[in-house]
Amino acid sequence: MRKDAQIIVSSVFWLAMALFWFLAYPQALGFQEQNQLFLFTWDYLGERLSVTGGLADWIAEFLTQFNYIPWLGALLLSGLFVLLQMLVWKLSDSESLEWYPLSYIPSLLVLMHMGDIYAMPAHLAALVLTAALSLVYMRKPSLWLPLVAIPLGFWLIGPAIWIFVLFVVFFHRKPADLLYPLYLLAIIFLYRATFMQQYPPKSVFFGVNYYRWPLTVPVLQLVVAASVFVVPVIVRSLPKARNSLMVAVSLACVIVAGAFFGVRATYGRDTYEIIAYDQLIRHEKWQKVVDRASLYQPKSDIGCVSVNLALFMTGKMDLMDDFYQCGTRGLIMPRVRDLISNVSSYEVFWRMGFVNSALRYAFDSQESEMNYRKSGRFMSKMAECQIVNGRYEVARKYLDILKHSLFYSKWAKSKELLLGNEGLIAADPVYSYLRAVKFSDRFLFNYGEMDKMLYILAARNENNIMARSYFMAWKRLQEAGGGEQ
Amino acid sequence: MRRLLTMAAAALLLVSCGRTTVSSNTLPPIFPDYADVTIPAQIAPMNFNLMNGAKRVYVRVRGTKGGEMTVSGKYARFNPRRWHELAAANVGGDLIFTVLGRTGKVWTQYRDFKMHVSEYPLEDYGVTYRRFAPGYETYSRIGLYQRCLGSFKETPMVEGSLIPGQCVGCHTANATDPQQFLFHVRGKHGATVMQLEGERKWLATKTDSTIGNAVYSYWHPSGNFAAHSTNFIHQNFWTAGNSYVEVYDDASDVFVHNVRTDELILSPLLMTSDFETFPAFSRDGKTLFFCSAPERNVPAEAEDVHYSLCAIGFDPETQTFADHVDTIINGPAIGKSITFPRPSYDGKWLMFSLADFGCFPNNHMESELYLLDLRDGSVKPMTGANSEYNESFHNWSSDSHWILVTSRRIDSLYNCIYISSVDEEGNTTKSFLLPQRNPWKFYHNTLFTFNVPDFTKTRVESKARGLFKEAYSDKRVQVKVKE
Repeated sequence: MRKDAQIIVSSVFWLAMALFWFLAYPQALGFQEQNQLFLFTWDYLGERLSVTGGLADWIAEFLTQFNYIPWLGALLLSGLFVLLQMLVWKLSDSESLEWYPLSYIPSLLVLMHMGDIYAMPAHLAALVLTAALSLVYMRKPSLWLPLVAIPLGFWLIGPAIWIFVLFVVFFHRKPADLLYPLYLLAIIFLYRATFMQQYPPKSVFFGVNYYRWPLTVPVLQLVVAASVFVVPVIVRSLPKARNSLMVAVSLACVIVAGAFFGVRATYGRDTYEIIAYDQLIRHEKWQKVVDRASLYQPKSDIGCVSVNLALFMTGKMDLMDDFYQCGTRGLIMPRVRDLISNVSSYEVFWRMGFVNSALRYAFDSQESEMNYRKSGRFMSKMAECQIVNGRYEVARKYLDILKHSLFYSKWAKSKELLLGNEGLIAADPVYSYLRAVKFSDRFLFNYGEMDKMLYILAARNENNIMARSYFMAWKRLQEAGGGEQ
Repeated sequence: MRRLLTMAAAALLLVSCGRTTVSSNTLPPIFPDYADVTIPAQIAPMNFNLMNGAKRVYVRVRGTKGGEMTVSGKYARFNPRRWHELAAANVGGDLIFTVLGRTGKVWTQYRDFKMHVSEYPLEDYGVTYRRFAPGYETYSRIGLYQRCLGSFKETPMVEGSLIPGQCVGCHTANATDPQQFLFHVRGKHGATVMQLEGERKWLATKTDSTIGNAVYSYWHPSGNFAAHSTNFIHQNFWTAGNSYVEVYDDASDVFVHNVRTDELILSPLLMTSDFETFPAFSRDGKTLFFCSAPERNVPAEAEDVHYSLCAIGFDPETQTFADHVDTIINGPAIGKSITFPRPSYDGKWLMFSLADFGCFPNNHMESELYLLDLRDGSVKPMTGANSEYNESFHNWSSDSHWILVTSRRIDSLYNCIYISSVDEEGNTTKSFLLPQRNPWKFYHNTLFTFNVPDFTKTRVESKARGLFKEAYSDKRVQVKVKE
């Protein structure tokens, strides 16, 4: 296929992918971004490199931080997809136009895999790196490259380095090359016995940072990895077709259709709707939450909390019954250990004056990261809660950490000025309001007696309209039989 | 000669820059606050940072019994070998620190401060602790670690990453000797993991006669028994005030476990409707100290829960308890709560936390350390070790002349480890923060709290190999109640 045509098609693919992320699933970008906190420090790099696959992870996190600006994040993430496609085509080493669409299969499989919100971009970065390494070897085969690249690659890229080893073994087909898989196995066992002692064998073999949940290896993740090797092998073995244009178009249609249905199957509508609400709440786009919910609303507690919050913020709480309700849990949820359930409830707590509860839910959201990441969004909220509570040294700790990030640094520096400066805090409309309405009485939080807590909060300050509205809504839902038991 | 050269270098450093030097009558604003602390000669270099924005610091350390060293840089970072030489040469004497800090073009020379080098050696290898993010109900990275006291080397014993989804709980060695060591794992694959002379076994400690698994543990000096409490622990969260979290039990009992036969020795006196917890054996092994509070309706009456310090006789030969409980300090009577009794290993003292109420002084800013003289029954506060913040999770060194304690005094949330010396009369010296290579960077940047620290006489040989398989196999040794 002509090079300029390839560039055009790849560019269209890039654009399509970017539009996919930016227009169809911008919430996925925000979700990935808020579940990490990339820091420009040597310690952070060192921490990433302390486990296998660390470089791929670091690169992926570096790129993911740009999701803070969705269009930029979409472009960068899509770039990785295009890079993978181009590398797969190069590895296929084919001049036949008709098989070119096959080179998109791995990238599209990654796209489907990333419909799983626990799939990490680090896996994609690792595939790109190992494909690039494989290409270097294909272009300039040498004995020393696998000897060096296998241990180093396993450390920096992770188990995706198996793809490189497979290329080395199968493309030159020398009996001696069969030793390379054994070499990699030996390396893996060596790492497991030394640097990776504190990880289960399964994590070491299948990757520590490819998936958020430890000890979980989705089948699609393995299929994606296998495709990076299998597709070039197949393309190389395919003969030239007679009607190449027709074959190419047919293949492209089949692949696009497959991708379409694959994406529909893997991007759970309810999950992404809830994440969309959350991202809109994060940016205080209340009316958009209401508009989305008017078209489709997942029947879940967390979705309900988000919609009810948006209804209050738009002054339409009297329209609650026009939307799905699930009892009092739909106003504020009890604490749940996962990445999304607590978030909308802490937004409610924060705005209402339950500052300690907002802190608790934000903290627990951050600590729900099973892969030990921190979160710029949650840490910012924790810092704000500590400022409102007057615990400036803890707030300073969080702000100083945030100052090492790209997108939270400016915010952190602006908040640093407030630490210990009561005058500035009093002049801040949000913090001074929260100080005025937050609990002054010290008692133990009891979710089962939320109505009483709401009443106390509403009675404390008549300006706390939100507490009053939530109290009335709580009582009404309770009486309607939908209360938390 | 070396001294002359050092002074000449210092003078050159100051003069060559063409900058002025001013004197200040104040102590240097250093982190950590190491002025007037008492240190063991074996401790790692007591590096510190100058906290007034100084771009460069120059420090000269002189020993009153001889020797000196100088350092300069962004912070005071001492050469470990030379530090240890200087400290060793000044046992019983003082180290005098002269500190100069450069801000802009001006060097400021502060008032000298000193550290006293104790005559009591601290020969334990290091400290062990649990590390995790402090706060609420969820934890991500959690683990047990050991840290060498003579250097900055920290190594993991067990990290949560090895057994994902499980909580690695409190660990206990037998009077700092890790040959007998146990820790608890909580979660779906929970167990009490016991290492006895190099062998590891996973125990299921709940029986039909006990309300739950072992929680707070303490070894019998013989190494043949471990006392455990079993607690229904809950957490709740304050809506306002200085403390965010309240930890309370709504049921708890105490029992002794024969670790050779894996039998539980029960006593109805330790399994009443009251809340019995925090067992600790006396040095002779014939008394079991514990804390007990009258049953309350918690959390509603959480602020009315006051624990007393109690004791019951224990005969290791017959494996039986005495027929009565002695109340040593009556918590409800004084309106305070006594928790975490820790008898010294020389049999002289018993250290405990005193808080306004409750069983978890770690979350109580008012919690202070007190010392009970086991010879005459007198009680006094451990003034040097206490601060305006919480003091809790304390323990003794193997020679009972050093204690460690955790406190949130840096920022009111993150517990760090402090060390103090205790003399023959029970006087406590000003505690010092466990030194780090770059203390401010370490403590300010860390998002971990240091929890349940203990001294360890030697390095803990904890084999991570096989731990995952053992945990997830769920093969457990079921303890039984002794007939």
